[in-house]
Amino acid sequence: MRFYIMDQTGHSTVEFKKDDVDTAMKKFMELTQTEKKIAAVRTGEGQLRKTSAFDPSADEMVFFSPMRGG
Amino acid sequence: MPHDGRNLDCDGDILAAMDRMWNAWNGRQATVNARGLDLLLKFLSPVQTREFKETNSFIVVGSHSKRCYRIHHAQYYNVENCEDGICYCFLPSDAGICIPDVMLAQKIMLESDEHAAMLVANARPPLRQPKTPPSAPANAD
Repeated sequence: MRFYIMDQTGHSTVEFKKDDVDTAMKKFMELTQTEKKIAAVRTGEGQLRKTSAFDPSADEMVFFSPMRGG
Repeated sequence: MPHDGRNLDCDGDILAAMDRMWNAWNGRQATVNARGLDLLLKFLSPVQTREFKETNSFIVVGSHSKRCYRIHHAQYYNVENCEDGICYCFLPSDAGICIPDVMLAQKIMLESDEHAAMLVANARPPLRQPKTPPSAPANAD
């Protein structure tokens, strides 16, 4: 499982081994609950779905800060 | 007094130092944009990728309204409603996020939670007339 976290460097990547679901879930919680980031899971080629729940079967997830008007 | 103890009393030194700072900043920005672009291209559909390479923009379909929006590679008001030409501006709240990252976040929001995006978006009237279907000539007399 791979997390892409948008930041000022373009993005940071955090990778987890397949059997390390607990660590991935902990990081997911940290990003979404502590840092209040929005999570999206890849659901197909060119397709992502916003989610608030951790999906242990996900291959790739993208995280970014909440949206604001510009 | 310069903070690094060097005496930059010559215009040439100051300009050279500013030039080095500018080049360093530019180099860093280029790297950031390249990384952002990698991420964006990883998550675009084949059609969106082709469109982006040709026009620097791509179309997404809103999850609720099923309206088409064109996301342009631009800093502000870069999301354009394809029907009425109204432009929207919304972006992640972090400062300093590069444009490709902003475009990807906008794609995700519009394709999976359009209402939430439109709730925070600021809107601007179209700069040009939206394309209308061809009609009969006005002076057909």
